[in-house]
This record gives sequence, structure tokens and C-alpha cells, in this order.
Amino acid sequence: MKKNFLHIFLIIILIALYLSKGAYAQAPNCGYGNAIFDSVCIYCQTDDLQPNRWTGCSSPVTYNSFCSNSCTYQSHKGTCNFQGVTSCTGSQDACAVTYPQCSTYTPPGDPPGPPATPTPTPCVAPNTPTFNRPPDGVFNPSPDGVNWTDEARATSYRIKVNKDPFTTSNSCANSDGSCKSNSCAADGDRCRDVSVSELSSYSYQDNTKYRVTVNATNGVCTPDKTSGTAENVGHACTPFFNDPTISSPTYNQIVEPGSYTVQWNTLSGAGRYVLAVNDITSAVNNGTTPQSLDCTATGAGEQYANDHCYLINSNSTTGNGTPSEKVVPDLVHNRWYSMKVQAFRCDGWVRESTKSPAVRILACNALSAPGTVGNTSTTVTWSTVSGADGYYVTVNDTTSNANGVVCNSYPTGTGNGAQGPNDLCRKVTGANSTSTNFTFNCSHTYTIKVWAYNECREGPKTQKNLATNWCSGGSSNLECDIQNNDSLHYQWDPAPGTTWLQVSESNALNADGSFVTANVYNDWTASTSVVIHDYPNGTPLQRGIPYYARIKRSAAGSQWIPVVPPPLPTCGPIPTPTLYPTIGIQGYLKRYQKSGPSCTNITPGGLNLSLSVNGSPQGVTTNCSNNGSSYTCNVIFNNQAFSPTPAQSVTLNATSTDGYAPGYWAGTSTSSNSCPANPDTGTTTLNVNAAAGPYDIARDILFKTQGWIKLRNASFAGNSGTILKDIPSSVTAFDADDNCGRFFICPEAGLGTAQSPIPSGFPWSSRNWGMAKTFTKQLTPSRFYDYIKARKNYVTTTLPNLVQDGNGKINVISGNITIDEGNKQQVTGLTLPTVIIVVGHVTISAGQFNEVTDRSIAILATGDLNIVDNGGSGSTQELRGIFFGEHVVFDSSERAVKITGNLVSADAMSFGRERDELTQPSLFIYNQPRYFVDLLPLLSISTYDWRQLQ
Amino acid sequence: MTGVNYSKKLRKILKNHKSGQVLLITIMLIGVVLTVVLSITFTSRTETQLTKLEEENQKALAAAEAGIEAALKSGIVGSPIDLKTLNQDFTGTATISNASGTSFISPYLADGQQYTFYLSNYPDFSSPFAGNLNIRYGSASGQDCGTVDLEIVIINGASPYTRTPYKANVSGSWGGAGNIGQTTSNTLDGVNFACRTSNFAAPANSLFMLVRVIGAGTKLGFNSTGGSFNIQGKYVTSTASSPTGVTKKVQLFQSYPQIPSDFYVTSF
Repeated sequence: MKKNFLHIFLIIILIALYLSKGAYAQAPNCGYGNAIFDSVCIYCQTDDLQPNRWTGCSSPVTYNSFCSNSCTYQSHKGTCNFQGVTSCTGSQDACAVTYPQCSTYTPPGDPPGPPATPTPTPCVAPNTPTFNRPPDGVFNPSPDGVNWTDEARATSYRIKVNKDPFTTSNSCANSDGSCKSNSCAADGDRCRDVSVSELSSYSYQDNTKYRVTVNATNGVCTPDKTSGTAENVGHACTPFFNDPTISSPTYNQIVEPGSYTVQWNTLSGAGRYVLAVNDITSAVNNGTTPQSLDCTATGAGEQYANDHCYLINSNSTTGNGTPSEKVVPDLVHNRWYSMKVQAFRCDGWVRESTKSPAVRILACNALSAPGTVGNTSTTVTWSTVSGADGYYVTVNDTTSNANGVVCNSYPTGTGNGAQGPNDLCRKVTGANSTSTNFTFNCSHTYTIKVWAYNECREGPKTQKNLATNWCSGGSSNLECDIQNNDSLHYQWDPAPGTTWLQVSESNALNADGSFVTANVYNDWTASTSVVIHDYPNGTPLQRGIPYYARIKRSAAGSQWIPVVPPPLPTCGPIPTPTLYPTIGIQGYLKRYQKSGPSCTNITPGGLNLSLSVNGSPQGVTTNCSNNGSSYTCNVIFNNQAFSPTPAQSVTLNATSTDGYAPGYWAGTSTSSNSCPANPDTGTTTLNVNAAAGPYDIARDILFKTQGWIKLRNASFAGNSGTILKDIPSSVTAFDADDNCGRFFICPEAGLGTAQSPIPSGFPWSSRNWGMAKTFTKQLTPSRFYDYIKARKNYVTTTLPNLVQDGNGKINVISGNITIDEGNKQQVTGLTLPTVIIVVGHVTISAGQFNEVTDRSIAILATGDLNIVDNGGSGSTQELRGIFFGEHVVFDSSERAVKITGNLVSADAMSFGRERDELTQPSLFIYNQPRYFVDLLPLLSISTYDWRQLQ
Repeated sequence: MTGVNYSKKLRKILKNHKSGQVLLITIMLIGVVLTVVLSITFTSRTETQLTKLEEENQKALAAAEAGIEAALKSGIVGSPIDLKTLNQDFTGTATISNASGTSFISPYLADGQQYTFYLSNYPDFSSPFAGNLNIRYGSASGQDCGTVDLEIVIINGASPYTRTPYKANVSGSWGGAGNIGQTTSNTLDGVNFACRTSNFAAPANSLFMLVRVIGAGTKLGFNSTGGSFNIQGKYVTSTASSPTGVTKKVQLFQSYPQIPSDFYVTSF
């Protein structure tokens, strides 16, 4: 039974399926490509839309009228059925339109017409993309990348990026608009045909304008269908990452009238600030919020009454060159100002920061503290203050009220606003007021404060602490002794109140107890002791007479009570010391010989000798006399008029006009043509001691002047062991290239370093950049030879084959070479910048080398570089080029040398040149950059920096 | 129930209990052995994986460095080299790009060494830089401006050229005037510097700038406040990825020719 029921159910299902299939099959057909369903007429193609084929329509249906109707067009694919309808865009496509009145369709007569032909698939251009990035206008260059909307039907996009200036065409695009290459990357220009809607690898440069265009292409079509072109013109400009804040002045700060330097925080990348200063006095008085002044670039520099608006520009539209401060002038006393600042950057100042919070200030005349505050027993006094309208005065009786004064008010005139007993609070009007009444207790302690005020501020307070302890008298033990045989030393016990010491040459007193003589020493600052050297007017105390003294203390105001009554204590007389004799220094004048540290007696021309005593003490004088080949100097101590302190250090200054300078004191003296003892440790200072005299000191003056060296346009690094020669006090230029005076390095001088400073104290250069320091050479000729073997191209050759093999190259010559007048053409015949590395010693004995052709040549010797006088004519030897040796040696000769280019010795140079005319340098090195620039590809290294990024 | 039957049942029960205990112990032993075996296997597999990963890292790094070498050999800017042409097992590219922009960090320079910073295009010295710039220094940890100084010499003009020196000597230990250094800590391109010079303009038609480090070693940071600097050399960036996804990226900076201070500074 169950099985039967199941069979019946399955049969019912099958029947239902059959019926449903039949119903589905009976859906409206598309006769000639159209169909009717309910009240919607579907046309498969416009050709079917013939008049008179519809009935029941409320209005005539014609081909033309239909296509001009505002209907919703829909196209279909394939045969006309309801399931395949999609949107259409053209009048030639099939349409569906709602005609509620259309109910039936009458096929045309016999024949019914041709069957519908399949409509070709429409090929449509994509819509014009829209740029997401970069936008029109100002934008942040970060993050990188160009992208736009992804358009349907687009199979590719052509993106072009053109970096400003736009006057030049896109370097990556052809004239017909196509892209040259998808790998073209010409600075900021790009042209790419891409399948995705982005150019992800593109980086924007800050403060740069970009024009971007893009169009989309449907490549399925034949021919391709291309959309319109979207274009954006943007300005990449990094935004400000923080806001400006005015740091000075602070809100409600009181500043002085006139100028004030407003400061704010520097914003990274800001090239301009606009500072607005607005007079808001009336707004403050009205109690309203201060108005801001909106400055614009065009309004910059304008001034509206007491308002100001400033531009603070740098030379650059980006960067931090702009100072973050501005001096605002013309601030008027007793006026309020509000100020704001805003930052800008990039061309046209297109990027702006937010405006800083407004800062409100008051310009008000400054007030200083009263210089002095004093008192009598019944008054408080003070000194006036410029710009004050009056003064506040408080007095706190700390004996009665230790908690300090509390003022309920500051009454003017005679009132008292103090809360505590015996205190005072008072306002004294009038710029010239200097006192107010107040009666002090004679045995209390007080704190007095006085300060000035004007209409917009109060000045700082001046405080005086007072102990009136004058109710009773007292006594002090005044004692005196002679100190250092030139001073009076007074001591006394502490006395209440202020003490006043008077010292007089006479003990005669007036009736009121004051000294008769006018020549009185007064001191009212010392409390218990004082040492007197001379009178306040500078007159020394006299020797041989007694001095009288008295001490008083103040009672109240000008009331003074003598605490040491007559007879007055006496002191002195100051003894007359024994006269110190003169100390004499004498010896011979000597100099080093031209080669080597041997000495000879000399008679310098225009010799000037003088001594200076350390500290220039009173009573010590010096004089020197030149006796031709010897000298005498005296150090004289005059302790009759002064009290000279023993002179510990006397400095010699010895110069001559013929190049002998400076002079040093040798250890001993000798009349023979030999060096005195310890000539190399000679010094310009000598210790003498007045207490040890009288005695004579024998010291020769040794002029260490030898052939000296001068540089031009150089920095200098002295090697360990380098001895820099003294430069004479009077110098003569080497030649026209020697364009400065008595300096080691002529302009443009860099830093000079050596193991010890230049000994004679003259400046390194006009800039005087120098310090005691030595560097370890990293790249000697030997090491550079190793470097070029590993890193550079070079040729191995010989001196005779140099021009043929190595013109314009790095050459390596093995073995010692000598360049002299006979073969120097083998080097100067080079026509291109050339480097010659000699693995061995190099000797240059030519009198003039490379001085005519002046080629850019560098000669490096891994051994010695000997520069030898060939004995030729002329007083100077001239070499041009860059010369670098492991050890540079100049032979002993009176012939001076000029090197144009540069000279470097890897260790301390041996230098024997000493020209006869010592006012001129014996070696002049003119460092010329031209040689380095010409030789840059050859005489150089590369640096590398390796980093693992991921 | 008799006593004999009771005894048999009892033995049977005891016998069954013994069998259960043996079974339980056997299962526990198997569990322990399995745990030990599985732990050893897991540890061994993990270590093997780590070893393979480390090996992959090394290989990827070597492949990236090989890309650097190949790019340097080609010397073509902007033309990437496909690392697959060098090693089938790795993908990636090596690209040469110019070192330019508004900022530049030099390699580390020891005391006394100098850096040649180009202010025009090398080698024809065209398009001289015309903006303002500043130099950052004192990059070493704990370094202060009292121990490191700079001597700056700008070569400009026409042959035989003009030399314009500057100094950044905050402590004043060199004597003389003209210090343009200041103690202002700052960061440039991720490098922290304790000091900087004030902004200064390069003289007209500058070729290059020789910056000598005095006192202590440091990197140098060059910062333009007006436009990009001229190219200073080349960056070679190489990225190599293994089939398992291990990626290594390395970068080499090769400077334009440098004039060593040992050549330029007069010394004896």
C-alpha cells in the first residue's frame, strides 16, 4: 500500500514537471525578434519596429518616434528572450519599452518577413577613468604611486606623468602620443601602457608639480575603442606635521615698549612664516576676546594703526632656512597686542600650516628696583626709579610679627593698610618721591621693601633688613698693625648698627669730634676689619708718620655715636724699605747657521729689544740697550714710591728688520761663534726675583730663524716630528702669488695642525684656525699603489716610454728615477692629466719642472722624494704638479723652491733649504685645486657603503 | 556453595585481575615509547626546518649579493637585471639608481678623513647646485659637538678654481672666528646627529665640497633647503627570493671619485 502510494506520488510529480515544462515552453516567443510579455514590448532590433505591426497602443508606434522617446533602452544578446536582456546604449540596438496599452502583436502579412538575423555583439569604449591619485591641486607626495578608477571593458590604460616644467614635453612619450618604452624613466616623466589601474612604483618629489593623464582602451574591439582622457594637475608638497606655537612671549607676558623679538617653533620644511600682531587694547578694556588679525601674503608688511603683519621668508620654498623669529617694533606703552603665526611652504606657498594659538601681551615700560633703601629712625628712604609713577612701601616689624607683613590695602599719604601691629603698607605717589614716614623701634628687627609702579606694572622689590639695636651705646676694641710694610691693618669688635672707620694723618679734632684734616680715609662697608693701602683718591699712605683712627656706629639715620673715644689709637709709622738693586741681563746676539743647529754671532739690523714683566707690577721697569753684537737689559725695582711684588717672569721681545726674529734666551752666554748651552730649549721668558737681587744674569739671545716655509690656499697637517720654522718679524713676498703678510698660510687658509703650535706665536693664517694635533696617514703612496692594483686600471711603463704608454693614465714605474734638465721632457711631454707612481725613489733636480706646459701631473714615490738643487741659474727652483713621497727631502742649498700644486710627505720632511734673504720664505707651496680637478678620475678613490635592508 | 567452588572462583578472579594489570602496564609502556619517539621526531623535524631556513637565508643573501656584482658590471642606471639569469633557483632584480635628492648620508668617516660632496654634475661639472644647505655631523652614539669638528672647503669658479673654507668648530678649539657649527640634535634620513652647521649657500658655480672630519669619526648628513642635490654616486639595490619565499634585499652605495685628505691637505 505504501509502495502504491509512492508510485502515485511519483507519477503526480512527473506530471507536474511535464506540465511545468509545457508552461515554460509556452512563454511568449520572439516573432521576428520581438516578444510580448504582459505590457512590455521587447524589440530585438529596430528594423522590427515597423509601424502598423502593433495594435492596442494608445499612440502610434513608429520607428522614428520610438527612438526619440525617452525610453529605457535595453539590448539583448542572441535571440530575444527575457532572460538575456541587458542594458544598451545606442539607438541601433534593440530596446524594451513599456507601453501599457500594447497588448497584442499582429505579425505582418504573408510573407511574414525575413527571420531575424543575430545582432553583432556591440563593442563599446570604456568610460573615462577618474584619477584617485594624484588629485588636482596640492597633495602630499607620500605615499608613492599613481592610480585611477578601474573602468569596465578596459583592457589597458595609457598613463602619462609629466613633471614640471610643463613647457617641455613628456620625455617618455612620442610626438604621436604613444609611449616610447614602458621602461622609460626620465626623471619625473613616465609613459606606460598598463593593464591595471595604477602606476605603483612612481615616487613624487617634494615641491614639484605634476600633470597626469590617463585613458582607457577596450582592446577587444577591432579597432580598439578608447575612452576620453582624464587629466589632473597636482602640486606635490609635504604637509606640515606639527603646528606653529609662539614660544616667546608667553600669554599675558608684559614686555617693554619698542621692539620685541617674537619667537616660535621652527616647522620642518617651512619656507615662509606670516606673523600677525594686532593691537587689541580696546578689546581688552571691553573685556571681549582679542580679535585675530588674518594676514595674507598680499597684506604682508602693511601696518594698520598699531597692527603689524610680517612675512619672514627664506631663499627657498622648502627647508628650514627661515628664522623662526621676528623683531616686532613700535610696541607702544600700555597697549595690549595679540599675535599669531602661520607657516607656508612650496612654490606659490600653496601649503600652509594651521595658525598658532593667539598670544596676548602687554607693552609696558620697565621698572627697575630702587638702587638703595635706607632709613632714619622715623623715615624710610629710597632712590628714585626711571619711569615710575610712585612707590609701594612695606615695613615688617619681624620682632612683633615674624609671619611677615600682610597688607589689606596700600593707602596713599599717611594711612597704613598693614594688618599686623607695627607694620606698614603704603603707596607713595609721585615719580620723584624718595621717603615716607615711619617710626622704628630702637631695638627691633625690620624688613623693609620698596618697589616702584606705573600704570601697567610693578617693578622689582628692593629689600633692606634692619636691626635697630641703637637703644644703648657700646664699645669696640680698635687695633692696628703694619702689614707688608706698606699697609695699615685695622680690626675691631662687631658693633651694633653700621660701623664707620675713619683714618687721619692728624689727631686734631673739631668740636663735634670730627677730624680737622680733609685727608681722611673713610670706610663704612667693612664690619670688623680692613686693610688700607692708600687713600680713596689714590694717594699712597705716607711712610714715617703715625696714623690716627676712630670708629663710630650709626644710631638712627645720620646720628652717629663714637664707640672709640679719644685718645685715638695710633698706627705706624710705615717703615721705609731698603732699596732693591737693579737686576741686569746681558749676553751676545747669535743665530743658527743656515744648515744645522750650529751658531754664529750676528749684528742684526734694526734690532729692537724690549722686556715685559708679568702682571706689570707697580714699581718695576725695564730697559734694554743694543751694543751691536751684544745687549744689556735691566729690570729695575723702585720700592720707594711703590711696593713692587717680586717679578717672577720677564718676557723678551727681540725683532729685527732684516729677518732675524724672534729671539730666545739661551741657557748660557759665550762670546765665541758657537751655540750657547741648550739652544733648542731657548725661551722668551726668564725668572727674576726682586728679593734675590742684586745679581746679573748671563743669557745670549739666539735667533733661531732658518729657511722658513709658507703656504697659500691650503690646509696643513703637520706630521709627527715636523718642526715648523719661525717666521721673521719682517717678511717679503716670495713672488706675486704670495699675497699675504706674516702668516704661515695665506688666504684662503683652512685648518692648520701640528704636533705642537707654531713656536713664535704668530698666527697660522689671517683666520688663525689651528690646533695641536697630528693625523695618521691612511693613504700613503705605497697604500695608494696597492689600491690602484686592486681597483683601478693602470699601465706599467718606464720613464722613456711614459708619453707613449701612459698619457692620461695611471702609470707604474718600478725602480728609482731621476728627473733632470736632460730628461724632464719625458714627463712634461704628456698632454693629458697623468698619474705617475714610482715604486722606488724619485729625484727631481730640474731647476724648472713643468713650468711651461703646466700639465696636470701627479708624481708619487713609494720611497724618498728628493728635491735637489741642480746648481742652475736663478735664485728659485719651481715645480708644478702634485708631489707625494713617503719621505720628502730637500737638500741643503740657498736656492728657494716654489711648488705650484701640492706637496705631501708621509712623514716628517727633511728640509735643508735656506735662502740668503731670510725675510722671504725658502719654500712656497701654492696649493692649486686645478690639478686635483683635472686628475679626479685618476688620483682618487671610491667609497662604498653596504647595507642589508631585508 | 562449597569451599572448593569458592576457591576456584577466587583463583579465576585473581587470574583475571593479573591479566588486566599486565594489559594496563603494556598500554602505558607503549604510550611512553610513543611519546618519546614522537618528541624526538618533532624536535628533529623542527631543527631540520630551522637549518633549512638558515640555509635558505644564506643562499638568498648570496644571490642578492651576486645581483649587486652583476649590476655593477653592467653599470646601466635604471635597467634591472633579472636574478634568474644568474641563478635559476632565485627570482628578483638588481637595479642601479642614482644617489640624489634633497638629503644624503655619507659613509662613516674616521678622524682626519674627508668626503668629496659634489655640488655639480660629475664629470662635466654642469648644473651647479644653487640652493642653501647644511651639514649634519656627530652621528656616533654619545658624541657631542665639543669633540667632533668639520673643515669644509668648497671648490668653485673657473680653472684654476677658487677655494672657500668654512669651519664647524663649536668648542672654539681651533681659535679664530667664522664658526658655522651649532649644537642642534636632529635626525636626517633615520640617522641621528648631535650637531649641524647653519644653513649656508654654496658659492656660485661650485664644483664640489671637501668636508674633513676633525676630532672623532662620524657620518655626514647633507641636507638641502632648496632643491635636489646633484648625483653623488650610485645605489645598487638587489632583491633575491627563494622558491620558499625567503627574501633578502641588499643595497650598495658607490660614491663618485673621492679626493683623499691625505692627497689634498699639504703635509710634511
